[in-house]
Amino acid sequence: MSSVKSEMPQGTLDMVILQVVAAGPIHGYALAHRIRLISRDLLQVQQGSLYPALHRLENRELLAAEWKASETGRDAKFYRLTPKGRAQLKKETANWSRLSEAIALILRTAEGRAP
Amino acid sequence: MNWWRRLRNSERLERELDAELRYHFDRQVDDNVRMGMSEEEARRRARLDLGGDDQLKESCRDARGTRWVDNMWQDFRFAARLLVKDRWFTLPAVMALALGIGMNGTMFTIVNAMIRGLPIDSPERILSIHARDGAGRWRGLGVSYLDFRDFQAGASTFSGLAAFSQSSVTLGDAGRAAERASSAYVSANAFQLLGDTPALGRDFVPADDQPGAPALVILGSRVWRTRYNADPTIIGRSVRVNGVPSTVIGVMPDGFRFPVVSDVWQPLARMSELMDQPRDTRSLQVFGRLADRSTPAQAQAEVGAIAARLSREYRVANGNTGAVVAPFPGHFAPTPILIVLMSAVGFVLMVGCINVASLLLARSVGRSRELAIRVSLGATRWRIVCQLLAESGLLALAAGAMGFLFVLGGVWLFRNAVTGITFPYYIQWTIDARVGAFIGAVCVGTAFLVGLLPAVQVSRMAAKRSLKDGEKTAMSGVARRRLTTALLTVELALTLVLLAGAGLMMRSFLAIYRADSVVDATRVLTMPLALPNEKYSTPELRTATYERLQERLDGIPGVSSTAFASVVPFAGGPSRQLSVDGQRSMPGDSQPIVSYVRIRGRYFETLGLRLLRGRTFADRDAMPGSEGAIVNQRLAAMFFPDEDPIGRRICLTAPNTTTATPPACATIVGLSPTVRQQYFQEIDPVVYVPDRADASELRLMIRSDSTLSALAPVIRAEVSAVDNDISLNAVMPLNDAMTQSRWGHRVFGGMLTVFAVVGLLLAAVGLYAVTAFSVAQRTQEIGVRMALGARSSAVVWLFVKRAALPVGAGICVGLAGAWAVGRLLRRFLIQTSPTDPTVLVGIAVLLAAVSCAAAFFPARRATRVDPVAALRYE
Repeated sequence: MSSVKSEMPQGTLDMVILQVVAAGPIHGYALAHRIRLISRDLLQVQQGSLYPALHRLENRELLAAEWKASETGRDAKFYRLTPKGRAQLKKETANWSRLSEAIALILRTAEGRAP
Repeated sequence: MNWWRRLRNSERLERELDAELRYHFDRQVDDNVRMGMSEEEARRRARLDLGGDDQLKESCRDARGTRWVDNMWQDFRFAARLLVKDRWFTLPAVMALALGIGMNGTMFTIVNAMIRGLPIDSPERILSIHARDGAGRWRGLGVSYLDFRDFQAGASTFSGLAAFSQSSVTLGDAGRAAERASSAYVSANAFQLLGDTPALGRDFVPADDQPGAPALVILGSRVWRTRYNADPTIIGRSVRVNGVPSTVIGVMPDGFRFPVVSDVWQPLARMSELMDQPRDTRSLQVFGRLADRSTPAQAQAEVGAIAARLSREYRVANGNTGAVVAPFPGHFAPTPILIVLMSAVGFVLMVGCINVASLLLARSVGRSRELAIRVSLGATRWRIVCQLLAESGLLALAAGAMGFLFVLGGVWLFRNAVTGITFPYYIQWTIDARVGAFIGAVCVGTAFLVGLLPAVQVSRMAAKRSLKDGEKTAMSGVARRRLTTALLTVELALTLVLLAGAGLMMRSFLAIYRADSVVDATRVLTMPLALPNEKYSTPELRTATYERLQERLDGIPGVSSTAFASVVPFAGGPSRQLSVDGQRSMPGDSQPIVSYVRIRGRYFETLGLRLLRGRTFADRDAMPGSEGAIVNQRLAAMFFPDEDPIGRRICLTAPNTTTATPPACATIVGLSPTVRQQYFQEIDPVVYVPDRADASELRLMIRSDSTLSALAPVIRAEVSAVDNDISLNAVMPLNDAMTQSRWGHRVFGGMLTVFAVVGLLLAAVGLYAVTAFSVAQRTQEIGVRMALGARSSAVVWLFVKRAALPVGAGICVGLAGAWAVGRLLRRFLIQTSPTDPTVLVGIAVLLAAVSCAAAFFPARRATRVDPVAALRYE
């Protein structure tokens, strides 16, 4: 495990959740696991912000939830993307890539002058 | 799920949240164990990962978006507990607000009933058309028959125009005593325009409203029930109306008494000589229903244009006549008095609100520590304001509930106060949905008025103050004292305005009462008496009958004198424009208006009056060429201030005719004491002229030494002996007529007085409470002062002085307000100036005295403080 872990930038958690859920219905625990896995342990999602975010997205009807048996056989709350959520995700990813490109550009050109 | 469903399913959501988090926790523990941790270690790590369980749940609940409902519920529960605990604060506060809300609700019920209009669908679409003279002095004139036909032909903004004229009729049936009923002649389309249909039988049709059509009549349900025992076979039967056999074709539904209190309707064409009336005899009332998509402004424009054309075409009759479109029916009571009364109850409510607000403000001092704790635990300022508003909201809610009971009681009291006074049929003192909405709105307004100021003030304090400040000193800043002083000033100013209004009204009432007492009305009976028109068709026949009646009535034992008059004293009557011969009066509106009464018999004697100068009427005063008139002292004082009025000539013009009709002139032969004719206004100048039997209906007045109730049957018998068809009803002591004519001043003045007294009490209680509170707050300081040797008078002065500022300022501001109220009331004031110094000074002194007492008693209590105990007080 790497000791350098990054905090999730403000406002990106929702996008990350939507992206992961887009792959198929998933419950909270697996979601946390998957985020850590995909980001190669670089991103640490605190459960303290994961669940409120899930509930918020559900209330905004970007996610829908249902209870069904999980891989362990116990019932778990599975989230899946709604059409509305899919649209939102598309919008946010587009936004994000524009933003990150712009920032990367700034960082590259300003590199030499950094102290 | 929308927030409402989320709120309703909150228990299920709670369970699911629990299960979801537990699932996460258990999986984490399992994984941790699989990674080689001991069971205990695995659980510890899982808990750490998950963070605080409750904190997490709270965040999830926040995400639901229903937090504010929970908060509100919490606030209300907390507020309710507090208010129940502080019941000695709550009870008076609720009481003060409930009084205010109750009075407002009652007053609104009354105003609502008066302005509600006709009980039909969209009553605002019904408009009336009045003639008016060029100068605009007479606005509410009737419309002549010919003008009505022209309006009917030309007005396209109306879907129809109808006309009516009020009268009274004698209903007769074979073998039964005749009965007098108020009635109206209506054009055939009148009921249809209103949207009313007979409950039984049929409505008039245009063919019924033609000259020469058979005599038809529609009965009101009152007459139908009382005189005809609700007999359904009445349709098609013949009854005698004014002696003419007429066929009953319909019965109107219960409660329908259009236009005012009519019980019998005949077609307009039955109105005698209507078709022959000249264009300047404006004897009809005209109303119409606006056509779809027409506006009142368009109607006014069109009607005005028609009137302008008529005044060009008929220069002699209509040269100086225009037309106005107005809501129908017009407002029942004079609007200024309703404005004054509505403002008065508004003031009472404001005084109540200010009281409760300053009590809340005072109470909040004791709570500043509690609030500071809440702030330091993370409550936002908004939450604190919400919580305080919840308190005032609950107070207002409780007050509203209690206030509604007061409304029921108030309306009941008002109904009792006005029993015996005839109101138009569409005025019903009922509490309808509009009243309910008004009371609701007043409650909400009250909650904010009471709560907002203290809440903002307190939360500002709470946000600033830290916990370590002593709670006593936290709020007792200069700011709070200034605020309290300002509130008290407003309160006292409002009270002064209320008292001044009531004082002026009371003084007016006394003035009328004093003026009326010149008439000795205790032993006088009055009743309307009508000769059937068809039987007594000429003045000669009528005169002979009046004379025979007078002879017989004078012969009744105990009767000392009888008289006839076109209208009894105090009961209104027609007005005339007066011009004094020799003083060329200006045309138009400079002509003064006087009341005009035709009398016959021993009128002044019957009223217990003696002429001040001159003589009573002789026969020749009624003869053409030697007309005589008697004027009252008020008229003499107005128009002959320093001269002898006897022998002067005066001329009277009816307002609804024009210069084309020659005025009736007469020589003044006598001067009578002032007896009022009109109500609702300044005591009026009156001209009496001899009756020439022009009309078939007169008021009979009889003075007698025997008991009045025993006299009525004897009078009936004597009248029947002359002719059974002469109807006589509503026999009434003149005293009752007098009392009724004063109802406006009695009822409205009485209400204003009640409002003012309640306002004064509330203001006094408020001042008392504030002073008592500041005494309690400064007990320690008083103890120090007394221990150091301050005299008790100095201590009392300390507190009274503080009350003196708002009292003085309040009186000054209030006097300015009283001046404004006086101007509004001006039309209602009788022999009282709107700035009557007696009233204003008296009121100011009263208010100052009550205020001093309210401040003095708690202040004196301060001097009884034991210095040692006071110093230990902290």
